[in-house]
Amino acid sequence: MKTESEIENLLRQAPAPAPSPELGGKLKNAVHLPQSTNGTDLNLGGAFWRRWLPAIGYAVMVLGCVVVLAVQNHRQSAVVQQLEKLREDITLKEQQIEMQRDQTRLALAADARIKSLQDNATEADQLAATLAELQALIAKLTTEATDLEAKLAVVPDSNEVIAPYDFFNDPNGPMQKAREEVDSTKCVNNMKRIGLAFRIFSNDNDGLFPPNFNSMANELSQATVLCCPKDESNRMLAERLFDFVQPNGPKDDWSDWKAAWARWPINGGSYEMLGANLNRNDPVVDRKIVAKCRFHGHVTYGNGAVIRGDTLGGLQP
Amino acid sequence: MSDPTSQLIHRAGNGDRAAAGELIDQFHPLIYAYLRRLTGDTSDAEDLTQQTFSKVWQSLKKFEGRSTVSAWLHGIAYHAFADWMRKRRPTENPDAGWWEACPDPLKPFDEIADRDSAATVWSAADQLPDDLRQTIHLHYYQELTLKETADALGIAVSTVKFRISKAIGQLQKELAEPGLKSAASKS
Repeated sequence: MKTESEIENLLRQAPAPAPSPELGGKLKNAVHLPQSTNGTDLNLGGAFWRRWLPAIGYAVMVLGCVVVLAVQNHRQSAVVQQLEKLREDITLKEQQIEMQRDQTRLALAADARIKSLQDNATEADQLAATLAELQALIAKLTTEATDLEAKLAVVPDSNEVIAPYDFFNDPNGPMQKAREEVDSTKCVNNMKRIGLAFRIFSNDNDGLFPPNFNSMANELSQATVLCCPKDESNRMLAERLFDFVQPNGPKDDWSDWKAAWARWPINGGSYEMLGANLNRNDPVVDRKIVAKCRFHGHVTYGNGAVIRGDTLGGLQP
Repeated sequence: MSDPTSQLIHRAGNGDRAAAGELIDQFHPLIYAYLRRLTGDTSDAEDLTQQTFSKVWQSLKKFEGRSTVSAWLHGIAYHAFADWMRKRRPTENPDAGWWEACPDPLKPFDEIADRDSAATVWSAADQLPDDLRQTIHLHYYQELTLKETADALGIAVSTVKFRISKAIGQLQKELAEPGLKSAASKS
């Protein structure tokens, strides 16, 4: 086996192929050299530039950057100064605008004040005119008063006293109307009690109604029921006759009550007896009038219903 | 940049055709040999040599003297070969061995065994991967130093050392088991 040095020796002893003799001439004929530059100084200069060009280029770039930064810094300073100036101008403008606004507000307020004063003046004029009218009216009234005084001086004095308005006793006043309404309602109640007395009586007498009001003394209890509030004479009579009656007195002590009824006239009172001796078993009787108020015109039917004389509506029993 | 070869570059860069002629005379056999070994064809090698020098004339101003002129020229030739490889396929039937184009290539070797070993090594070197093959060609065939080889290929010196070690190891295996790789490649 060959050692490394032996192989290296074999390699170093390799022959070199020789070129053809014409190759050298071809190469010389094909020489294209660059343009000649006289002297070697430039060449040395070229070497100088090749050596220092990167450093010089870097230095120039750095210097350029510094210059650019300086210029930009200068411009920035100028821009900042300009900005400050613009801010000051803006502040000044704002102050001016605020002053103009204040002036505008003052002018508007002055206008409003002037308008208010004008309105006041107009109102004063109107008041003055009204005052003049009033003065004229006063003068006229004064004249009339003077005339009346003159007339009074001519007419003799009379002792006639004009009564003040009596609200409670005015025959056409609301109080009188209210009283009449109360009397009418009391009358309706009396007639309802009379209708009920008719029905009770008929129940105890095979459906027959009584021949007169006095027959229903037990059902009516007192003759005051037979008196309309407007019938003052009968009412005073009934109250006088039945004044003794004790509603809760002993049942066997009815002598005065009987005497009172004995003294009460047949069918006496304010109501007209129209259902005497009618038979309630007759269905027609329910629709017949059995009693009627001579003052209000209220009526009582056979079924006990009461109809007010001054209305079309009816009251249920 | 004080060495004479670098001065030739700068003179040519300044339009000195004489300096350009001197550069051609000095380096075109070397570049041609490099490209001839790689391409395996004479005409392709000549074309690439012309392309290489054409690019040299265009790049004279870019030479900064960081590497030797030889490494710089080999770098240009290497890139020209790489472009050529990308644009066209290699010759279908390249020479069986580039060394056969040389007059009496095995003359330095006295023993027959060494001659066989040399041909085997050279042939095996051409079968190496491209990165290893380029490194072997530049360092051993073109006799560039490790630094020059690294400059020409645009890689680090440590990478050159690694590639050489790896390539030598593979060549050792090839010599120990001749035909193993070719048989594997055929299968």
